[in-house]
Amino acid sequence: MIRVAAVGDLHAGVDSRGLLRPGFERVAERADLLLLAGDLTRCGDPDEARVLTEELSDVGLPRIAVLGNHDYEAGREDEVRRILEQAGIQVLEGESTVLDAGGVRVGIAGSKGFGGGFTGACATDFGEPEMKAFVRHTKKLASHLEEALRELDGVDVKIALMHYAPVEATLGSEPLEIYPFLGSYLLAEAVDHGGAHLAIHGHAHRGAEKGVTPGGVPVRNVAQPVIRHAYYVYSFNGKSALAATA
Amino acid sequence: MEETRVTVGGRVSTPERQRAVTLAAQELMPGKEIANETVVVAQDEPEPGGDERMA
Repeated sequence: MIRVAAVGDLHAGVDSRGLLRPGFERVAERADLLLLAGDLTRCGDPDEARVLTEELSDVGLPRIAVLGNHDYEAGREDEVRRILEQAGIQVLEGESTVLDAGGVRVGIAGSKGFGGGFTGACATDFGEPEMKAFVRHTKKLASHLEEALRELDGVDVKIALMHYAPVEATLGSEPLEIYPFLGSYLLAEAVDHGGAHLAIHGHAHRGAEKGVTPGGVPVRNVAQPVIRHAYYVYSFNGKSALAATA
Repeated sequence: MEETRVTVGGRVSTPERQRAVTLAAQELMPGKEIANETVVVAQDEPEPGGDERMA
């Protein structure tokens, strides 16, 4: 059995000191690892990242994160990443990691992801250079996510961690007009082709928690305004997870 | 034309704080319509045993 705690969109600010920590006091009793689905800071300020690391310093679990769009706002995302990693929070972007928890090997592949929209209403790689750059950025990140998932073949549980949404279902009551800025079907293709057992994302604050990819992979939007808790926990029987995809 | 509606956003931890945001905004901007779009986000830990079993 492996228990995965997950939350996104913590949006730590310099005034968050002391506010986030109480929500994670018992997480080590309830989970084996903690996933952070991006937007860890409000504006990507390194001081905000430092506050986040202080607030999560006593969690007592492996912590794995992707960055979100807010973490890029200040143009100091490399610094934010370095601060997180120096504090022991592993940050993934087109990368993967494997943890052993009670004999179950869980692999996490992560990417911020990006937008573009969903089947039937999506941006295409056509026209102005700016539009091509937009779509090609998503294609690149989705491709790297799929490669990172494939690198995990052989683990018991394979999780895709993103900030942007891979499916429409978890966008809930977000305005339709902004769907293309909330996620992309290309991320769902990466999740399906990469053989994930679960896809975790954030970003859509007015979204819904549960969805599924076209290939049948459960999708969970763990943006804190959606789950309305400090985190949620998803548990797997490792052998069952393998059997489910056999 | 004078703007009469002010929208306030963000996240608060309790409904009481959400109501306090409206009162504070009304005090700061008398005569304006305050649209309080803040979201109450409880940062409590989930109940023990509330895990979702995925497989």
